[in-house]
Amino acid sequence: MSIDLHQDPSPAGGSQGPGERIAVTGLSMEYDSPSGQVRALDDVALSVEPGSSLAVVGPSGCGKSTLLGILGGLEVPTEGEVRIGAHVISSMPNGERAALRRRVFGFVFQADNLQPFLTVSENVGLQSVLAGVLDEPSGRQALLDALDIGALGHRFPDQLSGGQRQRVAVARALVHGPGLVLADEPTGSLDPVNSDRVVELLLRLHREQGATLVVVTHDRAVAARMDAVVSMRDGRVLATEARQL
Amino acid sequence: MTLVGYVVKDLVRNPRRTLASLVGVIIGVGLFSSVLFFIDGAGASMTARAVAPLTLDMQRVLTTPLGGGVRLEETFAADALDAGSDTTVTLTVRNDGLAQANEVVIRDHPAAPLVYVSASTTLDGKPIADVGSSIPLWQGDAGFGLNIGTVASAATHTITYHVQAEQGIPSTAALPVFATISTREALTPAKANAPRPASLGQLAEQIGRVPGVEAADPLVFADMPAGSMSANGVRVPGPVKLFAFDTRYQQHYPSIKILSGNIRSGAVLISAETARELKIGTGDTVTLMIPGIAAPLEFAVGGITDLSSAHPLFESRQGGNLEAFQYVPYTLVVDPVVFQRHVAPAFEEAVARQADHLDSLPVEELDILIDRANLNADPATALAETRGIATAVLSTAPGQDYLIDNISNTLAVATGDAAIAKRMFFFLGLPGAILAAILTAYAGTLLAASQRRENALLRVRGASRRHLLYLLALRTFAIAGVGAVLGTALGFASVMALLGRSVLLAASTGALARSAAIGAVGGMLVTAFALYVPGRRLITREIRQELDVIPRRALPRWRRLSVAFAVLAAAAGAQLVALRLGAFDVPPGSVYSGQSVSLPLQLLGPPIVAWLAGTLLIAYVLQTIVARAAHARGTPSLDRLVPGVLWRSITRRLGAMTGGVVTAGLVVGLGAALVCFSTVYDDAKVTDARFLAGSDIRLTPNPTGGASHPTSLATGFRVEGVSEATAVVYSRENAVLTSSFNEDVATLAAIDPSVFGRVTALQDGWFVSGSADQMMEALRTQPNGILVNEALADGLKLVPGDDAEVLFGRGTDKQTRKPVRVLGLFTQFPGAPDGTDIVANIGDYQRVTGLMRADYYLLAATDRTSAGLDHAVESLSALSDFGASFDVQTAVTTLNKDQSSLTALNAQGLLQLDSFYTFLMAAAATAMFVFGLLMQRRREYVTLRAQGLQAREVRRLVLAESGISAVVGTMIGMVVGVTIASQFILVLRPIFTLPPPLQVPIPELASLAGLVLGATVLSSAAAAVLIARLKPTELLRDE
Repeated sequence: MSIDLHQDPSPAGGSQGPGERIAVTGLSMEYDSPSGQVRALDDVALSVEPGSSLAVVGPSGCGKSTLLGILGGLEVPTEGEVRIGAHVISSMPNGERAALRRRVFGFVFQADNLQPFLTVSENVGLQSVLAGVLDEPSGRQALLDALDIGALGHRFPDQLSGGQRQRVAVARALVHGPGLVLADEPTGSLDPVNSDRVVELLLRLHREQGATLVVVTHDRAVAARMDAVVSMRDGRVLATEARQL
Repeated sequence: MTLVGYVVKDLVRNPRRTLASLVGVIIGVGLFSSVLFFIDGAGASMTARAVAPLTLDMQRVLTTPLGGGVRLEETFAADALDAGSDTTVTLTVRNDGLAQANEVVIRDHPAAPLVYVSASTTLDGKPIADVGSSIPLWQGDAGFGLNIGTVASAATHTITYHVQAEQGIPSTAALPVFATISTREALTPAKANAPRPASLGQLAEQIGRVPGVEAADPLVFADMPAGSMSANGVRVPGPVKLFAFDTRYQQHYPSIKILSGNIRSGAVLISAETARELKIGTGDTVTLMIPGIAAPLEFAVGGITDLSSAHPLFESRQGGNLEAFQYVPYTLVVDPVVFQRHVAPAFEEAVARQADHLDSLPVEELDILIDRANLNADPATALAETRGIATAVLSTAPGQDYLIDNISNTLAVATGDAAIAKRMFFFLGLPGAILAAILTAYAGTLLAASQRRENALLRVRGASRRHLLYLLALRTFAIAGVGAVLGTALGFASVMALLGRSVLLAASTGALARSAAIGAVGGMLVTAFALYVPGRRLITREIRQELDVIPRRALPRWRRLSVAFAVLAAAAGAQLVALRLGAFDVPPGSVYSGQSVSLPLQLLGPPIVAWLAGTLLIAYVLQTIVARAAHARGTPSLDRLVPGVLWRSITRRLGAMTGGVVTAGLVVGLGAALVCFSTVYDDAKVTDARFLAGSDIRLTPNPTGGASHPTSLATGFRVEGVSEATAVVYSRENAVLTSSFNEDVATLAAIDPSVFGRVTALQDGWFVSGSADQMMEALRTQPNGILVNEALADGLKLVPGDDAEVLFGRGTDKQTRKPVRVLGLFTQFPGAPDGTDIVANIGDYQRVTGLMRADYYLLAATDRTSAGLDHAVESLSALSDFGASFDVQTAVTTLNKDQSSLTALNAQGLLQLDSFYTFLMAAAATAMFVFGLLMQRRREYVTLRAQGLQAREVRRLVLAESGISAVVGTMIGMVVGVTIASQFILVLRPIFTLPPPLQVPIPELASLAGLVLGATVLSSAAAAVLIARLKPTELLRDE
């Protein structure tokens, strides 16, 4: 793999520059299930510095993904406040949250969730259009080249391998220069080699673009590469551990 | 947990998915079973409806009235005979009647083991020569008898012959009797030694006890010459008809109306026309002259009758046309006792005197009413029942008489119609059933697609293909089973709502139970199959892909196109051949001759095939065009977000879109065809009724009314609700048309050509040599011009412009021959159920004959709806003496008369049923497509939302994609539907007098399109709400 870290892989615009600060206080989340009410998050407090990276770890069902969904504005908490930079996302109307997601956030999921009817290039370019940034094919191509999938731009997702699809998902998450990249088990469905490549890419691009990075993971090795690690259990934050740089 | 438990939990815990699959099954089975229930319900009333217009169920007619006529006795000289011994057979002919018997023929031959002794036959002691060494009483192979000529009243003749026994015979009395006697007066051969014929009263009593017979009433009638009835020296001008029946007969046939007085012994009833003509009333005396008797009979008038509607008295009386109503205005009704005491002896006296003017003897008959309430609802079974009753009736005191079995004849026609109707119902229901199966299969495909992930998980956990297929089978049968039960219930409820509880429940419990069982079990099997096959295919494909056994390869489009094209071409070819061979041409006269109509239902197959193949072909052609256009145009920029995403989604997944388009196209195609067919059917009934009546309203002068009815009376009928009125002179065979080649008796209609066209709405297609307006204008402006029926003109070698001659007013004392010119030819003319041969200007007719009387009046209503016609009739009823003077017939009252019994069948009901389910399917198919889209693409939509797409933009995407599919499908469906409707309606040709033209009812089609589009909008809105409620966090992290 060869990534030219001197090349600016992101186009102009978006939230290029320092990442977004995250401040979470008193965050709780309840929802109804067939077996009754479930408290997914219970009085969670969290603070992430702009441009830093954070890993959220814990057993299945501890609320990691719910926390990530709330941070990304995909869900609204039952209680508490979530600030992303200057925005109190926990109390924003739907439309404004959607607008924020377009410009400020980049998502990477365990499943690539690429649109099957769009080519690799279009999947990536669509996010630029949504973010309202200049969608220059050359910039997009440079990003794809940097991710070692430059030759696959015209292909459709079902013509790619799992690792290639996940790299396209990473490109889509970063193409508009987001201030906050949220990754939910980004390596969960990949083999170790591809898993390493994807994590390496996320970290390098995060460092390059200065975006804040939050990764939900089961993988201790992945977590160990982040600036800080938050451990969760039963919807609560058990410990926050900062890595010595 | 067992696999069954897994399936139950799966179905219960995924209610939306289960419900979506159930809807298709419920509607499909609902339609299928409702057609079965409909046939039960419609069939349950078919016997009742078939016999409802029939007034006389059976007539047992005596052929030898007045004293019993001639009789034949056969005796043997010896009773027991040894082998080889001889004996003498004696045949005694005796005429017990008062009249001589003419052309008396005796037939006989010895019964085995007796053999004829040659040259032993004698007549009154004189030898009769053998014929070819055989007995002269049985000549040749045909067994012609011996004609002994005339047998005078009270005379006796004796025939003897010898026979020899080839074997010993213990008693000759036990041998079968072959001897018969027939006369010119009684053509039916009567057996020797027959019991003395029972009297009419005795016969009525015996037949009245036959199971299935409700009543048997004696009726006697006699036709008498003109002027036979008189009072105070004034004679009636026309022929006289004499009836003898009692009060019970009158009660059983309520169309016999007694205006004043009653039937009583010693007095007679006379018709209103007689009373008016003779200027007499109750209490006066009327004189009846029977030809050949010295003293006329005088009776006191006991009352006045109105027999103008008394069909039992006049129907089936005209030779050669059994159902003709031959009304005679001058009638006399006597009590049976009076007839036996006074009238019968007078006729006998006249017969004995061999009166010259005695054209016919009184006819004695028993009019038999069948217990209709106990007849089976199915016409075929009812026919077997009435034939059984007829046999029992005929075997009661058999003798010289015969039976006219009107009810069996009617039921035979109804049986044919019922069979035709069931086939028509089947064909009308077939497309709906096919569509329901397609819909179920579509639901099955969606269900299978939605379970891909679950199946994959089960595979991961070790489930084999066999396990997955077992689970699929369990799931399928659970859904199909529950859906079949609910669908059958829906079918029953919908038919009950349509036909009414009493009509549906009139069907036998067994028939309903059978339909329910067929609907539920058959529906379950078909829908289970439709659900199972897509699921099985998907499981197999998934596993093969997993094992990398076969690469994914889509079926080349050209192959699908070519298949659809070939099938469509075959259907079109078959239809073209059928048309060329005249398969849809009307069998001439079938409707009016009381025969069951013939519908070429097997030819409805090609339109059904064309519906399926046509929809597929158009959809595939469009798919190909769009694919090529998209390729040629290039990919648009994503800068315009929604259009850019939409374009890519549609053009890169055209197969999915085509599936939706085809489903919508099939549903709308069937709906459009049904709407057109239904409109044509309704309109054809109304148009036919109006054609037969002549216009919206037809007023026929009541024969019992006293007023005269000049043609000028028409102007007085322009009351509120009536826009135009005209008088018509018309009666059967009232003219003679003579050409230079030949002449023929003809039926002439004299009309006012300046008004007639506006009253009757003539069609240009009815005229051969010009438009309707041109023909009326020619008739109006050219004196002594006539229009001639094309068939008559052909027979007389007449063409437009030829000179001819017409005898106007044939049969009246004003009949006049006049030169005419043929102005044009026509094929059909309204208002004349017996057909019209000549159309003349009423002004010419009146100038030539001086006859000013109209036979009927035609009125055009300002509002042709049923309410409008009622209003017009109400206005007319306010006219002085209107009710007593006219019989009113409207297009509505004509609707169920004078046409094939098939038109009275509830085909409209089935169409409504079909339409109801088609509308349900249209809504369900649309909703399924939209929700199918949602199930398959929810991850895409949620990802777009995560990427920042606004909810309204997601809504636009869903609505646009489903909307385009619905709009294109609707457009294809409309084209295909109207096209196949144009072929479907050919099947209606034999039922109606006028060939029904194709009609495209825009408002109804717009409603259908609106329903599909409305369902699309609603489904899309609901889908968008569901998308908004999806939990993105869970959905997006799922692999």
